[in-house]
Amino acid sequence: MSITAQKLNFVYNAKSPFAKHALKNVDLHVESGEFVAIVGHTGSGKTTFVQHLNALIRVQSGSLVVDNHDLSSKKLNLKALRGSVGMVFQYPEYQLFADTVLQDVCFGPKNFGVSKEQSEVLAKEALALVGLGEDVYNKSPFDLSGGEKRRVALAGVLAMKPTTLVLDEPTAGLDPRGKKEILSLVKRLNKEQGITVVMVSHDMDEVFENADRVVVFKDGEIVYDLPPSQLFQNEQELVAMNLELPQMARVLNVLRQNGIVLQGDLRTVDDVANALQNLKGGDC
Amino acid sequence: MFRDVTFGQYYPSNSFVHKMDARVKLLLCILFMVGIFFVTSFVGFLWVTLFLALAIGFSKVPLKSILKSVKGIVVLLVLTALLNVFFTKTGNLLVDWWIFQIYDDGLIYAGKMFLRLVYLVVGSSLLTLTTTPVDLTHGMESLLKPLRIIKFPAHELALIMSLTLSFIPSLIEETDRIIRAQKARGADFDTGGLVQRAKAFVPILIPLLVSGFRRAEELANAMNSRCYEGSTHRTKMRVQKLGWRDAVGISVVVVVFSAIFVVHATKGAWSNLVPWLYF
Ligand SMILES: Nc1ncnc2c1ncn2[C@@H]1O[C@H](COP(=O)(O)OP(=O)(O)O)[C@@H](O)[C@H]1O
Ligand SMILES: [Mg+2]
Repeated sequence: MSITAQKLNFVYNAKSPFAKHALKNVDLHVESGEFVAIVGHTGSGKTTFVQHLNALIRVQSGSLVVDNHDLSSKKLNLKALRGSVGMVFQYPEYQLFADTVLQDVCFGPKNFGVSKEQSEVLAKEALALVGLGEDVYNKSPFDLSGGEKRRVALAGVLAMKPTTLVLDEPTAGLDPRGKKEILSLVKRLNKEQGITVVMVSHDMDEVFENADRVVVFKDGEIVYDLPPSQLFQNEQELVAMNLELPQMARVLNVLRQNGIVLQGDLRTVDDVANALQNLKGGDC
Repeated sequence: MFRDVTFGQYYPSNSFVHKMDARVKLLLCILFMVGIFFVTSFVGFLWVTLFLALAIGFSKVPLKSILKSVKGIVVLLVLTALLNVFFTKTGNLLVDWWIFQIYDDGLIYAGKMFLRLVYLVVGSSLLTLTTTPVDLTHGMESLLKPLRIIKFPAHELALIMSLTLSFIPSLIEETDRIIRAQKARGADFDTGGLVQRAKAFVPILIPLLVSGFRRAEELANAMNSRCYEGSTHRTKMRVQKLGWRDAVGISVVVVVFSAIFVVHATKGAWSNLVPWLYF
């Protein structure tokens, strides 16, 4: 659902010599059903911001409204909020603990008071979503491969049926195929079920391909908030912030510099190839 | 929330005592702890108090930090004092009430025992407040080195200690992360009965153990692949050197405790001449 942050500020270890101003006047609005990517150099405050969305970090100053929950209020209903905002941490496989995969995925729904039978139904649905079948239900989560573990962890969040999904670098450390699987799943949830997605990422290619909007953090501030096709035209500024350009954005920029302006929302190699072909009248 | 917990009790400063060699401080601390048991009179305690005041002054550690460690043994202090008061049956009877008799010797013993314990804690916390845990382990290793002749694994012991120390911050961070992740899945650590609360810790403890083992294995592999071998002669990156401060520190402590040992050893001869010295 929708997210509105206004003048959000956060200081770690306030009033001590180690004080760190991690968020500075962050204003951000995310519409219901949007796919927003958050990028920025390490230490720019991305994790601090997204952990606010689930009240894992409480608002110090400014206001934050997620759904109809006012996160700066003392009377916040934490359970209800955490049930509707699913949070996938960086390296979520490190939070697995139960004897079997099924039990682990049931942990979330059970905490929200869902009956044992019903939570198993939810768990099986979630496991099917992430592409894991019956054969893993009774395996120990510690016996799975890295990619499978991560999908189990993701299922553990999806089983709570969140309406907003917050992911902190969900593909870090995965092989290309594992990355693709996770991303296409997130994209599918966003497109088919209308789940709002906020995803922190270091991989500009995946950002370029999937996000509706890209928010760039720098030293705790938002410096850009643009659709990817517009953002990545600012080549020099991004490079100065230690951010790489996506492959396709670089291709488009070179084409543009050579006077070839392609129309439409082009994200993938196929999109660009098709557009070029159309431009040339099909004889390419 | 866990990052607020400062590890150990090192108090960073640049003082005279901080700059002393860890080995010297360790040895002097041991001497102090042994010496304090030879102090049997209030005059002696006054003498030690003067010494401690000097040491604390030159360490620039606030008295508050030192008293904090004394607070940790308050129960022990009260208990020993009470036992001494009620179970000493010599001297003049002061109070006789129901089954309790209090003699003046009991009060004196209790007072001395109380001071001795407090000074033990103050002395040892002065060591840990002015020496980083890493320096302390290196110091211990180098002091235990001679024991290698009898196959005592001094280096390995020090390695285990310093690895433990260096793992603590990352384990604290990991715990914090796991707690947050399980909270995000609706885990509740604050409500419910005792059994329920204990059960709520399983989703934290298991991932923590798993990651502890994983880290340990990774570290072992990294060390093995670089052909690490403990027993061979290894050099240190930071070499500890004795300086003038150590000489001054040693001299002061030696003078202070020589006086105590002399007074103690000559008890029979002097106690009639200067009775106040032995009160
Ligand atoms: N628990 C914490 N205590 C103190 N400082 C922190 C803590 N977590 C993060 N920081 C600091 O806050 C800043 C922002 O961190 P973070 O939000 O994790 O950045 P990112 O996710 O963009 O890499 C960094 O400078 C980091 O060192
Ligand atoms: Mg981060």
